[in-house]
Amino acid sequence: MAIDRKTVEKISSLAKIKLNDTEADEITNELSNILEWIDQLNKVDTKNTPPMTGVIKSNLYQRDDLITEDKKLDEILINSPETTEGFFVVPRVVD
Amino acid sequence: MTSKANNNLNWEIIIGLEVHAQVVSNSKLFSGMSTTYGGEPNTQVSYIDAAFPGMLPVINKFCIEQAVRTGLGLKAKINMESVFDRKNYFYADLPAGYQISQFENPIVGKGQVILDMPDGTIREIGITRLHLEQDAGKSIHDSNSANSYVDLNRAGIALMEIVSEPDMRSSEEAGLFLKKLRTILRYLGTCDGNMEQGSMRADVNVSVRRYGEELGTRCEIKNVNSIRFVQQAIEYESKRQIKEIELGNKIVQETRLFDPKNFETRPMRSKEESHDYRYFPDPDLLPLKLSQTWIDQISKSLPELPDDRKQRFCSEYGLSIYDSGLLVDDKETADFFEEVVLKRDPKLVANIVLGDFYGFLNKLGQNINNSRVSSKSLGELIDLISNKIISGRISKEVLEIMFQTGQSPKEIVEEKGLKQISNIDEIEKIVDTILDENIEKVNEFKNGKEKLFGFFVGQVMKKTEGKANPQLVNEILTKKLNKN
Repeated sequence: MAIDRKTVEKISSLAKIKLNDTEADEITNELSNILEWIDQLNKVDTKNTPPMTGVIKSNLYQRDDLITEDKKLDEILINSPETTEGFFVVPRVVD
Repeated sequence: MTSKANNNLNWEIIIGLEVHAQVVSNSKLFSGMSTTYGGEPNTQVSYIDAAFPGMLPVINKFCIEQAVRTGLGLKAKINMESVFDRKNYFYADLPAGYQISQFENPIVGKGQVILDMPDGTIREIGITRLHLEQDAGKSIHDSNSANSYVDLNRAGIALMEIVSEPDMRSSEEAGLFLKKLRTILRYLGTCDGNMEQGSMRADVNVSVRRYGEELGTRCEIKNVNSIRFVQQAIEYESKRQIKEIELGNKIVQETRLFDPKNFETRPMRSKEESHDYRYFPDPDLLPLKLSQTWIDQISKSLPELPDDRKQRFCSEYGLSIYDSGLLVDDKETADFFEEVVLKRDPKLVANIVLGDFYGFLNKLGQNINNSRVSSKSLGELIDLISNKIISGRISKEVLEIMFQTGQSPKEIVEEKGLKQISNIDEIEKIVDTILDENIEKVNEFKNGKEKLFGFFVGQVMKKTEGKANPQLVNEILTKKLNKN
């Protein structure tokens, strides 16, 4: 097993995705298979290969510092289950 | 503020700071939405800022420039290649479920900030790194409601996270570091440093150890939004840790919150679970590559920085390090001073700017840009003093009227008849009257009660409504009182 049940439980809690026992076992198996397959990549010698963060050989496009967007309050709030006075309303989160 | 806990000779306090400084720019880091402060809720939010599906971030070139400029101002290494990563966590004011930040490869590497300590020594505080990231939105909590309210106007504005080495040893040093960093950012024009509006906030890392021991476990106090609060948080937190250890307990590494009402820190509930952000390179953004030519161009456009300016004020104007430091702390004050000082006595100008002028500004709650006293009219006032037309004491009175009415100092002096009396005969006459009226005191003086000299000066000034030339009064009084 490339990944244990405990790790799967941790990831599911970080991702806020609830899994029941059966699901957790299934996912553990599935992820293990994927990771074992990926482990094969570790066998490739990359000593002289610089780390790669992207596949496209071009530079990051940079835009000028201009305001090109307008107020779009209604569109922004449209998917929110609850709003008031232009705010999103969410369950109380406070420290 | 001196650290009481620090007086406990056995314990050393170790402090490192992470400062979040909002970048001065027109539009956000990855969207073309305005960054103006104080808009109606959610009116400055684009689809990218609200993380609508399918929206792609496009980086703002000027924000990159501002980060490089700040790096150069902190004498730091600029990294020719840096990478944007996703920092994953769930919070109501972070719509995408991740913040675009920089993790392993930040845009700026090691640098330093120099502190001038009150005892005249210098402390160098290391900068570990500076990276660019997005700000989150703002949650408003209503204590009477089961809900929180989210405003995303701030979401997506560019932040520079500036991380210091754990080089500070007292709350005083931490305060000086923040002030100095803010001064540098303001000189560079990369952050307005306005802590009340949240454009500069600090996370404070504190640990304690007995001298000579290994570093202790640290606690992080999140999001402290004033320099005074940072200092109070350090005071409280270091004492708490020392007490725990002395009781035989272990310090648990945790994130805490500073409560300015009760002057204490306490564990944050929502972040109890140890951080596991699962950073990975953002697939929407290519690595950021800079050219040396561009960096050189930015380097050439840097203004004179506070440390250099202070040195120049010492050498060019002959001011003390202390006065130079006070003047350059605030760029506007330093500019104002340099406008007034042209062809005038630098020490006199520095004394008046830092003394009476600032006294009235503070008293009236004005600042240097909106006050009624311009550099030109303050210069005229100083000329009146230098030319002995008014005394230093009267100048304060004139300055107060200038602040109230905006009149020129000459007008005020004419109108109120405040010209200094520098006629020797006239002053001698007044001195004679005073001495005649106070024969007993004169005798006491002659019998050794020399303190009374001040009394006589005071009487002359009272009689002349402060207009007598003080130097002449001193000379004449000395002459007459020491005559048998």
